[in-house]
Amino acid sequence: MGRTVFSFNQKILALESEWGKFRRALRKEDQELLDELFAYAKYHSAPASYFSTPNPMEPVFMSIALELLKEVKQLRKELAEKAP
Amino acid sequence: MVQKTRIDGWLFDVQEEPSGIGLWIIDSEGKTHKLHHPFNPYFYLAGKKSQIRAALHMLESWKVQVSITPEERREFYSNKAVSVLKVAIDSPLAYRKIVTALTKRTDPAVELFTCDIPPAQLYLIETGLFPLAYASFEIDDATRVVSQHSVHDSPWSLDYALPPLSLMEISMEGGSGNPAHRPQANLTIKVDGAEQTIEDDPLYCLRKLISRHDPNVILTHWGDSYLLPNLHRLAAAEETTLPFDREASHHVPKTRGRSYFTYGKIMVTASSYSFRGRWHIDLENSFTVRECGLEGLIELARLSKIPVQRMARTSTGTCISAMQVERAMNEGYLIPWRKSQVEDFKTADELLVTDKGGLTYRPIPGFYEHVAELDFASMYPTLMAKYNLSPETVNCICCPKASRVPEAGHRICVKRRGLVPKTVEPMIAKRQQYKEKIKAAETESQKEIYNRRQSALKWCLVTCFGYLGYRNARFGKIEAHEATTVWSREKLLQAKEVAESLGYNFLHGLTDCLWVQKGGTNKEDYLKLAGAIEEATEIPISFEGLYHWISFLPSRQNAKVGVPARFVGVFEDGKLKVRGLMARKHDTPRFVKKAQQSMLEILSHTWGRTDYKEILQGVVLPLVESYSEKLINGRLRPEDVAILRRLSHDPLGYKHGTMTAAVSQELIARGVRIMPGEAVQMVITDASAKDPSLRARSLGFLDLPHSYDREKYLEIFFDAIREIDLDGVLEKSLNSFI
Repeated sequence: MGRTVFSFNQKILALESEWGKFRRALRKEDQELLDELFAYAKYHSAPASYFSTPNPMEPVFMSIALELLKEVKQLRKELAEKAP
Repeated sequence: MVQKTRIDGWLFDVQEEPSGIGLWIIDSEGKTHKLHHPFNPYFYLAGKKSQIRAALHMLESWKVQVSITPEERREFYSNKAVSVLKVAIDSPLAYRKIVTALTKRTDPAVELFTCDIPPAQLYLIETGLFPLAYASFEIDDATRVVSQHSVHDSPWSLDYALPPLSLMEISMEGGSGNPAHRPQANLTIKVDGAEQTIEDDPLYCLRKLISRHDPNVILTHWGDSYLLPNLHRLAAAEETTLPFDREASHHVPKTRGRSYFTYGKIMVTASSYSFRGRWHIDLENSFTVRECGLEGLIELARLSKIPVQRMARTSTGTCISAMQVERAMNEGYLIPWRKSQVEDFKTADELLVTDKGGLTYRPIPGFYEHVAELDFASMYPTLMAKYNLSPETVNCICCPKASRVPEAGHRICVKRRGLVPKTVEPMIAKRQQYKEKIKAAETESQKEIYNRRQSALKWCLVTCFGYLGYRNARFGKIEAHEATTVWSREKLLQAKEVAESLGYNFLHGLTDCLWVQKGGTNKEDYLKLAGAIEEATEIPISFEGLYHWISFLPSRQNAKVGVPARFVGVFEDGKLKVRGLMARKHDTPRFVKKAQQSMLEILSHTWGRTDYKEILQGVVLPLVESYSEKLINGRLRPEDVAILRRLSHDPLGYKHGTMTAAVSQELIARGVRIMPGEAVQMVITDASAKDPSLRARSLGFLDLPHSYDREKYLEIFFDAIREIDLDGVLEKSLNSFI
């Protein structure tokens, strides 16, 4: 079939290997965090693909920001529930 | 005075003959009649007069008998009238050769149209006959030549009678695997409910059985790739012929086997051996029969006018393509030959927007309760029909100001209804009618027949989308393909928006289906939701069902990332839906498949997280233990641990000592010919052996005492167990085994 453009999933994989040197030099515990950040990006691959901007790193960063905000909000909520 | 007779019956098969088409008719008493119908296949020539004259001279110099008629037809893409010459050739057998020679030798400015349709199919289109049509034929008593015919049947009818078809089934003893990859064994023949083994002189026994039972259909396992070539060799050595044809002939296989590349995979098709006056259907070489049985095959042959033996060996996409050809011909169009169209030029930005396929979300891996699934039925064909998406209507030359498709910006013709929509629309409708018949059917067997027919139509509709963008398709254009995916994304997003606006949680979306969740809902709520989505999207969506639970599995590489199509769930009626698990994969060893299936079957009776975990602990865990014990004690049979692998290379071209390489080289050493794309069955004997040839062995030649790699198989088995584990209930016990 006429697929001439990589799917966004393939793009994320390509970006991940592009960042391979960065990852290699990170400490092991930080490597795991970096992998988690890329996992956030993969989770949002459908919206990123639909958006289709020329620089795939932009939706990757935005996805990471989104997921981090989600976690901050969740933690805030838990804190508020625990507060006396 | 010539004596005329009338024969009523079903058109069982057609074959090309020197001066026309041979017809095989079966009447209502099951009697076979062989008739002959004169027919001159034809093609069209277009170009400058002098060039056409040169082409005709060439035909004359080859001593081809032709008859020529000037005609006016329309060019398919531009819809403009063209003056052409219709050239009819007296012999269907010579037709292909003449066309090929002509295309090679004539001036490239001479265009040939409607020139690559097999003569038998062209005959069916011309006469209105179709495979298994009920018709009457008036024939000359002495010569059996048809002078008149009338068809009393329609390919679009839902309830059609079929002739009594007697069957015979031939296979080689010793398992279901490819007989070429194991030592030769006896033939097994099933006929009239009895099974017998032929120990010696297979040709004599076959001849006797065939003359006694005279079956209409011969089903084989691996007939095309193995049984028939070997029987042919045997017959040649004994200077005799094979007893399969109902009419003497010295015919050889029509097509030769080949390897080809598709969807990034290398595949292989076997040569095909068809019979005269009888059908040969190789059950291992027919996608349609495997998926939809003889009923599905017959349904597609009737609709496409492709003779049954060829339909059995071709893809469902060819069926749609043939239906498009017929429709275009009946509407006066010239059928384009090789594809000359190229994709329109696109800027890099446009490319980014358009070529993305359907929307595939990644769910958050986990176990969910009270989830509902909604599916857009036959989404792509429906969109093609609704939005008039067809190669000649997308970016047509006649409507420069037409409105544009969202995202991609393609224009759609407003003057002409496209060929693809016109072809798929009645198929969607017919499939829908079969589905209603299934609901209304009184007997299980009736239900099954309708189901096989609707499933054959489903496969056709699925492939017609791929063909819309396929470079080699006759009626394909990448922009039409893109426009379809643009609409599909639009519809899925609209569905998501409607669901979310009504308070549903959007869990997962996959091209044409979505999974949503909301507490305290019931079937009525989801039917209402489907109604609201239908109103917004203007295409039908159905409520597939409410799941007691559904488990979206993570990717194998990363436990935090979900995968679009890897899940298992149980609907309220207890029906399981499994996608992408090891039980569904063709390269999973049989015992792992069976074990996982049986465990899923047990888990399908659970209602949610709590009892799922209880059953895991109480019922599944003991099963895991007993399966593991059996495995560790070496009590599994080689067939149970065999793994199917497809050769991705030439067997001698492997750079690394993979197990597939080792096994294919072992087969070559044993004198087996294997082609890239072929599948081999292997048993892992020692996955970590230094010498690659010791890592795995071919199943067929595995001699006793064999031993499989217990550690490796335990690992594979545990992978399957982990797929159904929840909250690590089984994980602890798995560790204790190692």
